[in-house]
Formats: sequence, C-alpha cells, structure tokens
Amino acid sequence: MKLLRNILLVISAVSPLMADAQKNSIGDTIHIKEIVIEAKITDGITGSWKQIEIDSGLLSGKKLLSLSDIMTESVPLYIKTYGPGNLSTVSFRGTGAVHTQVAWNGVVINSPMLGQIDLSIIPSAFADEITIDCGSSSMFRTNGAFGGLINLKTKPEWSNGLRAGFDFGTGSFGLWSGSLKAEAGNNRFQSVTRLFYRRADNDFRYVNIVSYPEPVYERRINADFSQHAVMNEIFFRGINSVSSLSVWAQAATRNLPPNILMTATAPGESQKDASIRTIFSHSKYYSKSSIDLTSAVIYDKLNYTNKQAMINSLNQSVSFINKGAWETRFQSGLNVKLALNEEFNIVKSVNYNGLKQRNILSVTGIARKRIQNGGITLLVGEIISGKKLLLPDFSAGFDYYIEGKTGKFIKANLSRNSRIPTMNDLYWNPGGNPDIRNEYCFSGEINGGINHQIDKNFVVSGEASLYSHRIRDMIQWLPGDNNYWRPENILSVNVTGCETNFKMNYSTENLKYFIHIHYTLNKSVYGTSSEQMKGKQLLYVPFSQGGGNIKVQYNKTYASLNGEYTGKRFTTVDNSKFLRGYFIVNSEIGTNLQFLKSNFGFKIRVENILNTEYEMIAYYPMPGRWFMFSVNYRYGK
Amino acid sequence: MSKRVIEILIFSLIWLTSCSLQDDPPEPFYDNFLSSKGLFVLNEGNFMAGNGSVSFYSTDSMKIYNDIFSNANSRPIGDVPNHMGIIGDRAFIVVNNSGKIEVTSCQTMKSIAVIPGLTSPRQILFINNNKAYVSSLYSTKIIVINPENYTIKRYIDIRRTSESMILYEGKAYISCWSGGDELVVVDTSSDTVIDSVKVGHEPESMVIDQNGKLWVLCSGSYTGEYYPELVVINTVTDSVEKKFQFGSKLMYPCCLRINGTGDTVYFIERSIWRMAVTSCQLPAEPFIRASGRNFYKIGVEPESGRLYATNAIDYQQKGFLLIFNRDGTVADSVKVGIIPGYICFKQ
Repeated sequence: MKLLRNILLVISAVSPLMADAQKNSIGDTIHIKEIVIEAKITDGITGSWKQIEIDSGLLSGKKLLSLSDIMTESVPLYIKTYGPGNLSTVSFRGTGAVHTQVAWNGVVINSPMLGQIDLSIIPSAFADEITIDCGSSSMFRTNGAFGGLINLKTKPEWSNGLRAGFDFGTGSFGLWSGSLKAEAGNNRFQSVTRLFYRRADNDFRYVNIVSYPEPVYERRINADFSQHAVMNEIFFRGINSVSSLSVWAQAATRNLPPNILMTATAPGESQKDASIRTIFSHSKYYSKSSIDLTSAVIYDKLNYTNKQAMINSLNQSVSFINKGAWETRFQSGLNVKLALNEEFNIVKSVNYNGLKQRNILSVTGIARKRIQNGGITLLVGEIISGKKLLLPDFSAGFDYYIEGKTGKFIKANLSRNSRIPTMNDLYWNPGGNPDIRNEYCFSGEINGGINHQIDKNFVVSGEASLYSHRIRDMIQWLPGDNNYWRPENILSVNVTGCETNFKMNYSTENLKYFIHIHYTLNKSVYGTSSEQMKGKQLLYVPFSQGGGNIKVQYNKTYASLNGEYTGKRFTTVDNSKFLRGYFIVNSEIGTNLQFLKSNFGFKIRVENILNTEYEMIAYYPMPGRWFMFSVNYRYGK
Repeated sequence: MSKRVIEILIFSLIWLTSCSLQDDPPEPFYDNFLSSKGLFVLNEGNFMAGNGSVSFYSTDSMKIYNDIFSNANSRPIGDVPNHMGIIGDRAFIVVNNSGKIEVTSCQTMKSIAVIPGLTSPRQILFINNNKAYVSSLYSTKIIVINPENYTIKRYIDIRRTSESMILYEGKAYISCWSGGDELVVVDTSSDTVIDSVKVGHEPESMVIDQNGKLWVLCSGSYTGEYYPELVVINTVTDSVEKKFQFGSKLMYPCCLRINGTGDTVYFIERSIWRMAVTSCQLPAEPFIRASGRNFYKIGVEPESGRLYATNAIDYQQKGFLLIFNRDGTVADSVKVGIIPGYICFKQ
C-alpha cells in the first residue's frame, strides 16, 4: 500500500510536466543517478581540458541499452543511425564519424579499416564509467580524435565476497534483453564476469510518406538483430601495484533494412560483426611517480552480404597495441608524463589486394605546472606512421579556479592534432591511395563554469564552452582515374560551436528533484573553393541540439522525463535538402525494494511518448511510441 | 524552494521550445513549361540517399526546370532514376534502386501509375504499345511489362544480367554489361532468346547506324583486366563485323550515342569523342576535352544533331547540363541535380 502511495505521489508530481510537454512538443527524461553528466574539476594532468563523466552510479540503470542509446540521451553528441540496432556513428562537436574515437580502458577500439565504430553494438553494461574527452582533451590518450574520445572504463570493487546482479527486459517490437554481472574476490583479487544479450524484430509501424498514390502505414521489414557479448576480467592488487587481464568477446547478426524508397522486396542485406578484445595492464605506483604498461590485441570481423547483388564481403583486422606511460611529480608542483604508444594493424579483406599491415608509433610528452588556483599544461606529440615522420602535434592549456575547487573556473587550450588515414584510405582496391596525407586540425577552446551550493539541500552548476576547429587536408573520396573513387586531401572544414549545460539538484530527506539541461550549437561548414559548398553546413551535422532531464524521486520510487531536440540536418552539400528537426520525449518510472542483501528493481520505460515521426538518416524511419518493462536484481553490497 | 524549482523548470521548457522546427518554403512549381520541346535529365542522386530528381530543359525557352517530379507529386522520385522512355504522352522513368517504374504525364509530370517490385531495373525498351522490356542489374530475367495497364506480363530468362537494349527489325539486342561479354538476341514476337553474340568485356551501350549496323561500346573492366572495345555487329547475321580496340586497359569508355542521321557516333572516355561510322580507326583526338569537367552522360538531339553532356563534378554537388555548339564550344550551361545522368529527348 505504501509502495502504491509512493508511486501515485510521484506520478502526480510529474503529470503536469508531462501534460505541458505534450502541449509544447517538449519533454525530458532520465534517471538522475544514471545519466547525470559530471564535468569533473580535476587537478590532474588534464585539468585544462574539458571532460564529461558518466559514472558508475549513473550507468547502473541502463544496462540493457547500447552505448548509442546512452549517448543519445545524455551527451551533446549527434548519433546518426539507420534505426534501432543498426549502424550508429557519432558526430561530436561538428566533426565527422572518424573524428570521434571510442576507447576501452584507454585502448582505442575503432576499426583500423574504417576509422569509426558502430556504437549500437557496444553494450553499456560493459562499462562501469564512461568518460568523454572533449576536443583536444583526447590527445592525452590518442591522436586524430578532433571531436573527442569516449572512454569506457571498467574497474573492480575491492571487497570480500560475492556480488551479482542481473537485468532483464522485454519491450515492443520483439525486444528481449538481458545482462548479468558477477563479481567475486577479496581485497587482493577480483574476478568480474559480464554477459549481455539483446534481440529485436524491429517490425515497428511507420508512415511511408513516399508511397504512391498516398502515404500508407507499413511495417519495417528485414530489420531484426541479435547480439551476444561476454566480458571477463581478473584484477590483482599488490602493495603498490594493480594488474588486470580483460577479455571481451561479442557477436552481432543483423539484417539491414532497406530505405523506404525501395519498392522491391528487401535485397537480403545482412551483416555479421564479431570482435575479440584482450587487454593486459599493469600499473606500479611509487611515492612520487607511477608506471602504466598496457598490451592489447583486438580482432574485428565484419561480413556484409547482399544476396540480390551476390556480394559477400569479408573483412578481418587484428591490431596489436602496446602502451607505456611514466608519470612523476616534483615538489615544485611540476608534473611530467611521458607516454609511448605502438599500434600494429594487419588487415585481410576481399576488398584489399592481399594482406596489408602498418605500424604506428607515437610519443607524447606532457608537463603541467601547478599554480596557486590552477595550472598550465603543455603537451607535445610525435607520430611515426610506417617510415613517415609527421609534423609534431601540440596542445597548451591553462585552468584557473576562482573560488577554490568547488566554485567558478575557467579553462582554455590551443592545439594542433593529426589524424592518420584509415587502412581503407590507403589500400582499398580499387581506389586506395597510398600517398594520401594525414588530416590535421588547429583548435582552440575556452570553458567557464560554476558549481554553487546554495544551501545544504540545493546545488546548481553550469558550464559553457566555446570552441573552434580548423580541419585541413580532410580526406574525401572522389571519382578519379578510370572511374575509381579515390581518397584525396581536398576538403577543409571550419567548426565553430558552443556547448552549455545547467544542472540543479535539490534534495530533502525523502524527496529529490534533479534537472539537467544542455544545448549545443555547431556551425560546421565546408571551406572549399566550390561555390555550391563553401560556407554550407556539413551533411548530417545539426546546427542546434539540446535537451533536458527531469527526475523526481520519493524514497526508492522515481519518475523521470527526458526530452531531446535535434535541429535540421542537411542531406545535400549545397544544403538545398534537409531533414526536419525533431523533438523526442522519453519517460521512465520505477521503484526499488531492499531485502537484506538483495535489491529488486522494476521499471517501465516509454520511448517517444509523443509518437513523433522522425528520421536520423533520410528515408530510414525511426520507431514511434514504444514500451519496455524491465526488472533487476542485485545481491551483495 | 519548490517554487524556485518550478520557475527554473518553466524557464527551461520555454528555452527549449524556442528552437525552430520550421522548414524552408518549397520551390515554386512552374506551369506549362512541359508543353514545349526539350529534354529531360534524370539526376541519379547518391546511391541510398534518395536525392535523385528530374530536370527539364526547354529548347524553346532555353530554361532549365529542376525537381519537376517532386514539385508535381509532393514526393521524391526515388533512389537512382536511371533511364526513361516516352510512349505517346507518357513517360516511364526507371528508378533503379527503388525497384520501380514511375509512369507520369509528359505534359505535367503528374504520376499516372507506379510499377513496383522490380529487381534492380536498369532500362526500358518499348516493343509496341502493349509490350516493353525492362533490363535488370541483378536478375537474369528480362521483365516484360504492359505499358497500357502497368502490369508485369512475363519474364524472359536470358541467364545473364542485362543493361542496355535496342530494337531492330523485330529483334531486341540486350547487352550483358556487369561482368559480361555478350549480347543476347530476343525475338520480340515470341519473347524467346534466339541467339547470342560474344563481344568485348562489359558491353555498356549500343546504337544502330544508318546502315543498320549495331555499334556496341564495351567498357572493359574497372579493374583494368580487359581492353575496352567498340564492336560493330552485322544485324542480318548477328555476327561481329568490326572491332576497334582502345589503347589502354585503364580506359573506361561509356555512353555511346549516335546523331539523328546515323552517320556519327559519340562516346565518353574522360573527354567526349566523335567518330564517323565510316571511319576505319578510333579517333586520335577528342572532340571536346574534359578540361577538369567530369562528363557523365551525353545525348544527341535527333533532329538538330546538337550535343548535350552532363557534368557530375564530384558526385556530391549539383551537376550541370552543358549544351554544345556544332564546333564543340559551350553554348550554354545550366545547373541541374546531383549526378545528372540519362538524357531523354521530348519531341
């Protein structure tokens, strides 16, 4: 009875907001503890750069979703997807998909062939924390991520005993999903095992606006997918050291739906992806210094088939990655870090002329001098790709905290960053261009923020960032000799943008309110000499994007509303055609019950409450309103 | 404190709703221009992007009208409009990756019918008023449709995929382009395969000259394994009469066309080339040099012999239709759509 009363109380608290949201085509969602974006103020070596952190608590309720779902809801990234479970790539800060990288515990897992990664097949359950290195903040881990880097972190809890939990959910369009995490060990040894499964028929209804003689309702065909993944990690902790061995294997099978312009039966396009990723790492800590060593082997397989066109394209790659870093701290407040990164790629593809390989070596030196309420940092990096020595990259930044580390702050940095071509750019047959040069980008950024505790129950914080990128020698595939498409360094792109976010947290003993609003503008334009393209917004990069979350929690019961607005996205380079902007509202209501060491949770999620018709890629419809019910169980602390 | 929370919430919602969801106004639709003489240009658009379109160039007013299908019907033409045939007052537009034929009025561009469910259709050939053949990139069958009631009548299994088609003396010559090296000859009265002719690799386009000879342009292969060839077929014996081999395997000629009098053929190999049908060798110099232009398709107006070409630029930007004088100089240039392709003359 008490539970029912709590639920009714929460519903009544948020129902006026939902009604208003419907009336204005606006709304919000999210779980406070699952989606809050934390811009951490750190005095670490990256203190002058912007990082956004989605921590373990925030992720705990999203274990049945993919990384693409999480990112769409919570971070100012634009996810471009062909539909649920289908290829999802990311555009961050007005840059292209190849300019955002994804790392697992610091090891970049983007495909060496394409340079990008499909976020839809990365389970969010396989990360305990997600950190987003914005812009040149990524240079502390890798090169070429002009937009930024998404780092998935896993970390053990050093406690005795067994802890386990599972999440299970089912929803519209044949969706079934489950994840399990089991941890065991003591304060010296931990073993963590995760399993993930997800499938869906994806046969949602949509309006075919291009059908003749009039628009009709149809069901999506050939859009089903299934995905399996397993991760096992073991951690050892010595007196001053931590070692770990992690293995992540996953497979996904997907049928690829046609666009709605296709009137024939589906051509039988499908794709199978498989990956095995292994990382061994060892960290040793001394009184004023530390050493980190990492070795990784990453295997990726992608098999695309098209029965109608009789295409069977098998692509496999293996990357061997070795990283080493030494960091020390001097009494004068000077921190110095030296990092070495070696990556060796081997690719076997039906689209390459034989086995291709390459070696990339990069060396990075970082020095940070702490000054009274902030610091200045200088990073210098050098890349050796094959036998080519590239022009060195750099980044210089400063940060200043006006009222100590919980008050106002300002940060700024200036960088030059390089991206080496992908293996496809070099070796695709026909068309690959072994002489293609690296892209490079000059960028500048300034951030300011405030974190203000009004009273013991009420905290507000906000942050604004202005940034500019000048990308040069950008690689674009163009028709070349003999009608081959061939990559050339011809494009230049200029990005100017700003990100703002505002958060408010109000809590009393039983009742908590949380509000988060973010808004991003990205003017991302071609800088070529072509009259048609010059000054025009890049394809599929929205000029404006924003959203917000509201969550109300009463004891263990909560309700949340999330709304995300995405502005118009151009689909032709002269910006004459575009997709309309759209506003999506999602909602969730749930409760948790505690019995001794066990915790049960139930929740109902409604996606796209307003049943908005929208497309993220032209002529690929997205689902209207749909539902998901899930339960979870946790045992242990 | 709760009041402040609500105030901030309301402010936030107002801020978000201030984001505009308005579209730009649509382009105005121009009336009556289709009653004039001119030519249609099928702008293929990018594969899978659905940004193909139809343009019309009025040779009377020398004006270009773009996006005429979507303006007339409030929907896009589809994915990769590839070929067009006109019979009477109706245009049949073959939309390759949409697997359909859009039937429209030549005078208004308004849709009359759609023939859906075709496997990668490429080109249409009218045999008579109630029979037309449709070739296919992926299917080994020719689709026989009825242009009167817009239905599929039957299929002709030619055991090869097909591309261009031409009708001569009751026989349909069908080229097997993608990876092929043959022509298939079909008796159009019985819809049966009666012969095949081995030509060069990837026969892409064909014309009939003033002497009733069939000229076949074989592009070679994009991987550079075969020499391109221009092959002349005797249509009485259905055998190869002459072959002109291009000088390099790296050449990839395409888009063979002929003038109205049937005495001169034109084709693209980076530049535009011209050759008399009586010539004993391939031309040594191009008729019109590419000079940085990306010639994609050409068309020769049957009555005037005037040459038209499309420039696809980089396949991303909107291309141009170029109108040439008899001496090969540019008379006019007008912007059309993305990847301007097939040119269809409206008499």
